[in-house]
Amino acid sequence: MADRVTVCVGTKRGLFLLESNHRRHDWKLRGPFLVGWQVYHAVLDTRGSPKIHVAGSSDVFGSTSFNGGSKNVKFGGAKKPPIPPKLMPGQLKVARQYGCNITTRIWHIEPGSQKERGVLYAGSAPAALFRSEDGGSTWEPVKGLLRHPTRKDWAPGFGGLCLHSIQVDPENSQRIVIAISAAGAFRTEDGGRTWKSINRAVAKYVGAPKDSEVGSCVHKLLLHPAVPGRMYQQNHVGVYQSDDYGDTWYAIHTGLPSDFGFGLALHARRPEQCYVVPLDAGQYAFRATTGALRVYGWNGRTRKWSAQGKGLPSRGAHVNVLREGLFVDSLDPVGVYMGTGSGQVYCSADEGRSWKAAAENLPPVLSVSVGVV
Amino acid sequence: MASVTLNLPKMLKPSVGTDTLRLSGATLSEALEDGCIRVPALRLHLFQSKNRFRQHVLCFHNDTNVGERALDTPLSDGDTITIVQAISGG
Repeated sequence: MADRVTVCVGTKRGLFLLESNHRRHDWKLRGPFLVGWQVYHAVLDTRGSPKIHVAGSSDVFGSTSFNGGSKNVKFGGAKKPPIPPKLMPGQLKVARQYGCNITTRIWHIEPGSQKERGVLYAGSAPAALFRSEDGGSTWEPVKGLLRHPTRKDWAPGFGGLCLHSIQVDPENSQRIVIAISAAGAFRTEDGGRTWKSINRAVAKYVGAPKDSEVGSCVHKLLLHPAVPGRMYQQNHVGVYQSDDYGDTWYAIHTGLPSDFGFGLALHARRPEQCYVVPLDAGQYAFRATTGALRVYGWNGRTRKWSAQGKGLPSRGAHVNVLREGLFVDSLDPVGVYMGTGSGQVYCSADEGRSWKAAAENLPPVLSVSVGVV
Repeated sequence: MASVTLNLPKMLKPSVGTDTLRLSGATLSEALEDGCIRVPALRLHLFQSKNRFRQHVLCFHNDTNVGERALDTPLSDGDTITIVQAISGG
């Protein structure tokens, strides 16, 4: 029985750690660490001795990655950080026209496969994928993606032209799926040398380039670890499922109060089940729940969504949950975790049925991820 | 060639490994280049292009706020260079 559950909580003002045992009832808060850094993502890497990898950004000093141990937490920065590329001229024009964020950031860090200890991937804004083979000390860009012929058509989303989702196939480390807002999803079968866009049948955003294989504003994409080919994505317009690594997608958002949202999490053992947090997209600048904070669970067998929220606020909750704001652990029953832009971290230890605040009054939460050791 | 001290904001300590560096150089530019060679991450954090500080990075030579136009300022032994994050608001 696992005895230590660690939630890495990335916020606009540093990193916090929440720790509990397998019951996940009582939580101990540690931190803040990396004070002054915006932590867009942090992940507990359980390959070998546990390490925490952190995507840190500063509006003043740029972005970099950090790593450190999970017990005696002390972080060091990358010796050769991932350096995001510049926006292409057409992308910069679009960003200025629509007021999109142009700050360089590291958005996500993803450990490689179990067999490739020390291998990490990082996604940045402006969009690029980086690979490290030494546990995050030095990073190199994956040039094959930067050479993709559609790159000039990748348009920045409101939060920037960000590569935010990186999924390495646990059975084949040469197969990697990434997603960029607002371009779409891409898949490599050869470790990053060549990439195929996988956006067929996914809705495009208004104004997307016509006749282009990109133009989809995917907000979060996940590959199920137990079922080959099974993927889900929460898009700007819809929730989609694929059973063939993204070659084809079908919409599953009928029944949700809104097809807009950011957060997405997959049930660790039931591949027909995923979780989202629908947000109101009616007002351009007010993307939040409309009073009741609810996590919606998808049951692919009944093809129905169910609202889950016992213990969550039923009214007066106008909060957002960002693209890294939802996570599921690997315990039985699975725990579901949600971080809000209002500084709460909620935890459900019974697969989403009932919830309890594990931490409150934190800075705006940008990410939650969970490691079990 | 002067021996000087570079003071960095505390938030850079995890990335750079220290908040104080002993540097050498005849000018501010040379000393900062010495720092960037010793700690490559420093270049990322301080400069947006060659000899151009990031927009909100301030550089003090002793007690004087200098911009990139003054990067050729000559240094003397014992001088201090201090990097400060510009703060505005209200």
